[in-house]
Amino acid sequence: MVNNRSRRSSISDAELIKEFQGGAEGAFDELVIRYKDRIVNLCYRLLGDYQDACDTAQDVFIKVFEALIKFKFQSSFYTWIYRIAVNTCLNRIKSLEFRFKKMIKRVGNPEIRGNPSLSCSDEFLSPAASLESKERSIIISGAIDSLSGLKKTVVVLRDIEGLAYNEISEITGLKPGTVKSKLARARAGLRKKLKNVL
Amino acid sequence: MCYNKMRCAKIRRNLSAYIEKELDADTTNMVAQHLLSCNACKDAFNALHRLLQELSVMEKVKAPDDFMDSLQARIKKDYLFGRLARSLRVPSGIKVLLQLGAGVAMAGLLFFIVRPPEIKRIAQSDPVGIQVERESNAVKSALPAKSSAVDEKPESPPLIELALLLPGQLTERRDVFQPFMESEAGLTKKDLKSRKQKATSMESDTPAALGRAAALSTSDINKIVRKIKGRLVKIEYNSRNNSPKIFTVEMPAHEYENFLRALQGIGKLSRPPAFSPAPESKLAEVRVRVLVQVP
Repeated sequence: MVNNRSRRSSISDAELIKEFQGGAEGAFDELVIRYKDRIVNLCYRLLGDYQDACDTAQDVFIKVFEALIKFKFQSSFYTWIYRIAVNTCLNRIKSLEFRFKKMIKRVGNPEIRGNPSLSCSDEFLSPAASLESKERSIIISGAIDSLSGLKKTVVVLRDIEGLAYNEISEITGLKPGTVKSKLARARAGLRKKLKNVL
Repeated sequence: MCYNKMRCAKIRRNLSAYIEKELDADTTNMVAQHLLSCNACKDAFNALHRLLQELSVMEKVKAPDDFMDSLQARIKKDYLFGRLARSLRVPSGIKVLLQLGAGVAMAGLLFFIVRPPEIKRIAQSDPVGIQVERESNAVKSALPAKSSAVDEKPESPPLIELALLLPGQLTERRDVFQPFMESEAGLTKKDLKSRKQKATSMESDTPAALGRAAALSTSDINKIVRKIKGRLVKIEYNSRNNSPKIFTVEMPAHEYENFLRALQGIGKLSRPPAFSPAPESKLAEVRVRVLVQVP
């Protein structure tokens, strides 16, 4: 069992997927271990709430578990799971439950109105981070959170996750030119919002 | 200080691409030259640069320690049935047929539940049933005697349908000039409504029965039935005047002629019987529709 685990940790995503399609469900566990932090982080950046991000990340992995048997290797697993995560988060943002929850948070904490990400639970951030950088990070997160769905997505994927334009294009389904223009507008918006911080 | 605001706007639109080094050489030169001379655009460029630096070093959150366990628990709980269904691997052709069948069944059920009131009324009224029964009996009567002998089920008596025309008194008659005259005379709304109801109820009857069938009563029918030693199976009444509209009598086959004679004593049989009961049949069932003749 342990040998199997250590062997799997060294093989590629594609080989793990083939193993899973061959009936080895342990291969899926290895994929979860590889991607859980990245997916939770992506969901956190898109949703602005850690608990929501964890729940949505679980939804993402359940979708992956259901669809992995039909994966045809036409794209990399990395972009495929990111696409699922982005779509799941965007659907979650559109959902009434999410909007209602966000509204309740804002009403319950009037001092954080206009800066929604201040409501994020930040105890999961690195304890080594200084208070100043923590505050700055929270303000920047709030500014990102105030962007519209696709602008937020391209900023997160490009500037936080560091993906290439073609990968973002594949994940979001937008043309590369549209990705670039959305990114430029989103950055300009962020720059205006964070004028006092930067 | 830069006074060319249009130029500044154009430069700022390109700042993002300039930082990413995606502009062509000419535009890159133009932006670089402008940044040297315009402090506002240079500030914007510096702010954007700092923003990208901040974003690239943002803290990354990690999944909680129990993420894997709770995920596995959810998969086991929620998708046990899904995996079972997958393992059955129903072929797609059969799946389509099953879906189609389910759709048709659902549509049928919905139609049955929310069918229009008109259809409900027809379905509940007997004339359709009579018609269906008549057709089925016509089929039965058309069968040769041999095949009926082979049939294991007990044979029901042959059904004969008759129409009895009674000399009626038409108490109300529709006149084409009447509505016009009434409206001229200034009828109240109530009068017009009651007249409309009467006209509707008259139209809803059979075309021949324009008047009121009051000449034949249930006791008359019972008398005839007793006389021929038969049995009154079913009787329907006219909803307007409670006079018998359709009645069904079961009788010994040899009494059939007497029954016809008794009916002819009351009124005219407008539809002469198409056939007499076969000599070997012991019972005969006759359905009589009572109509009132227009004078």
